[in-house]
Amino acid sequence: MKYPLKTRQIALFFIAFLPTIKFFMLPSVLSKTASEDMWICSVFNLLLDGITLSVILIACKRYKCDFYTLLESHFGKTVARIVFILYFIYFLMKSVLPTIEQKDYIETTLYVTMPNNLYFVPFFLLAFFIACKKLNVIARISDVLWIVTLIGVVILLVMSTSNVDLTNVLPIYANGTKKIVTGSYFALSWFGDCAYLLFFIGNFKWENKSRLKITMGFLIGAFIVIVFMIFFYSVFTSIAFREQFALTEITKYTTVINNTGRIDYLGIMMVIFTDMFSAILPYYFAVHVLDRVLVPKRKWLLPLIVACVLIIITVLLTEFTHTIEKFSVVYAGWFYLTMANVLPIIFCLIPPKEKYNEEYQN
Amino acid sequence: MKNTKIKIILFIFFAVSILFFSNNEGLVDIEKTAIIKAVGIDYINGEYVATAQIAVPEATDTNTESKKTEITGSGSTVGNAIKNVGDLSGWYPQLAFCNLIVLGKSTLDLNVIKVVDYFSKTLRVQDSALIVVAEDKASDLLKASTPLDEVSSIALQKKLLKNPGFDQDVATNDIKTFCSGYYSRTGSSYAPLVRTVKADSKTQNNNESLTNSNSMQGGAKSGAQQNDTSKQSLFDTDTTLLFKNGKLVGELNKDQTKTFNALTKNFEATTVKVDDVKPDITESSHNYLVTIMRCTPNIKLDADENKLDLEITLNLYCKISDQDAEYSDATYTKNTPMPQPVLDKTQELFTKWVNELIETTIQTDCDFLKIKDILYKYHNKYYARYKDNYLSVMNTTVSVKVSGQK
Repeated sequence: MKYPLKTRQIALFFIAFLPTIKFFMLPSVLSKTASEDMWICSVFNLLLDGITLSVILIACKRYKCDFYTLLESHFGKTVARIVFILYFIYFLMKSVLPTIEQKDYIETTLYVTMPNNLYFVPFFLLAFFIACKKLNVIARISDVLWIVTLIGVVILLVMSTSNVDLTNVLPIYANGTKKIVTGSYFALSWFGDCAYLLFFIGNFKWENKSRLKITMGFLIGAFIVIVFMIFFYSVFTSIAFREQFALTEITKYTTVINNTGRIDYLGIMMVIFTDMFSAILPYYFAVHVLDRVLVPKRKWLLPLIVACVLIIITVLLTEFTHTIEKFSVVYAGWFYLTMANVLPIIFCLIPPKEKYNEEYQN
Repeated sequence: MKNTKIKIILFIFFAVSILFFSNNEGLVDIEKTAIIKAVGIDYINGEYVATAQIAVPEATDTNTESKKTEITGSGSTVGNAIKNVGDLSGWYPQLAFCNLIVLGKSTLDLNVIKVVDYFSKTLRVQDSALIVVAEDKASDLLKASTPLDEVSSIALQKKLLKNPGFDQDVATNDIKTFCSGYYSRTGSSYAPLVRTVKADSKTQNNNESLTNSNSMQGGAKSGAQQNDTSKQSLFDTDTTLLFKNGKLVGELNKDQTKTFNALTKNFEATTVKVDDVKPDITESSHNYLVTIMRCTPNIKLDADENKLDLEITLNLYCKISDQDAEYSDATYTKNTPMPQPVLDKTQELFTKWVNELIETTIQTDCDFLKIKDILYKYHNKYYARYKDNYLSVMNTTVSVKVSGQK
């Protein structure tokens, strides 16, 4: 049987896409809630994701069928469809904030005056193009982009070191559990990346070192996120909550820039580039989850419809961006937590039914 | 059919990509763009007056310096005043290259954060831009002509941003640090005060000495130079203004500013005058120029329920760069030990200056040394106990150690 994914590509998937999406609004949201403990919020979220990952990896080893077949075999078609529709809603909601962040970033930093609405169309064209492809497109993108992410992040972190005062994150745990938990809750929209792994079940060959490779990929991605959060707060301290685009702000105080100009944009653009794909990911999975339920004849139809929904939410409803962001961050956390962590853990701990595994293989 | 579809998709993709990358819709003609190098803000008759120093590029074979022009706009907010600069001139005010914000003296009557905060919040200005306060009007400072550069803000930045190896005698601050100080627990910020000093008198003095020593060669040239520089200014940035919750509360003089830099910044290669020292009981007093080769500051706070102890240590490794002795002593250029009286005098001076800094902190309530932050970070348990009275109850110990070649 030929699998669309390789273990290596899943490990690189976490390095390429896990960190970048958290470099825009998230640091300021966390700073506002938990101040110098904001990085602990991220550690909490990553721990939660790490636990989810380890449970899903058990399922990856155990099951040879995909997630839909697994649900169908245990709970029947209707339940499988309901769960997949819930995941469609989850991924659609999860794609809104990253898309708005990308759009806002380009709008406010790359355009001098108010740009035309069409400026963001290429993003959706690329998203549509990727969503029309099978799962192996994600594998190939991961293969290419992980190094771009790493180089971009290294440039950003190295250029910001001269302004980093690590004592600014002291004292650790000063704000107490409540603020840290609240910060983690608000951040759920940006985390929960292990939910993607659910849809990789049965799509790659489990090998001896699969667990180690995928866990390493996740840990590298998580490490980058934590270091970035610590650096971010160390640079901005009391005004960190106002820095909407942490990505571009963190490096610009280095003295090198005074002499050479904004060479940090080299790293910024690398991260922006990978973030574009990272922002497309939830949309891609939303389409593919719905595709599994509806099984349309024309494969381009669902990507088009979902893209239109996303365009309406992110581009045409710009007057409601604040409400959308508030809903996603403040009110929808429980839904993100359920879909990204609770349900995967429950589903993945279901004992296997060998009959279905064999049927799926055949 | 399949090929046609692909062609259509590719066509749309490239058409929109061109639109995306050319930024055709958001394009502002370069002819209509004013590249602002510095912004000065004054507060006159209840309005903010923004003076934008605009760089006018002039590339000629004979002149590589930039030309400048200043345009003023006013409004009820800083953003409004800057917008009016564009409205009045027809130029789009491009602030991405603005590296200097000058606050006029009149803004000090306000909470200065009303002025500074705009530059911190807006994405149009880099908040790494430096902030200074003019001794009078910000507009006058930007309009000043200097012999150092045609554009006064560039000349001023040469003083503010000194490369390693120069004296670190200016308490340079940028928008981000100023604002983070204001919004921090201490509520304290600082900015250098810029005084304009007439260049003509200084030039004349130099010329006179030059004439005395070499009158045949220097006479005609110095006369011409004096005319050129008769209305030109230099900048004195040695004084530091202190702000508490956005209000001006005090200032640091030249020596205190240097000591502040020694405690908080890279202080290497800075020189200090040490005057009237008798290196030996048989000799008369000399003046020395001491160069700080290495500076290791440490501000430590110890707290418990009953006491709060602040311990400031400053370890300086120095060498003598010059002295005004009547004899030429080549040993000063070599790695020879410094005379003990010079070490003692340097230590005495720095101890005095550090004590003055602490005294200023207590008197002005401007915690520019961030003692409250240290209390919060390292003695969080006692933060609530001392946060309101830490300056009045703390016992301060200052320990300055000056050493030279051993």
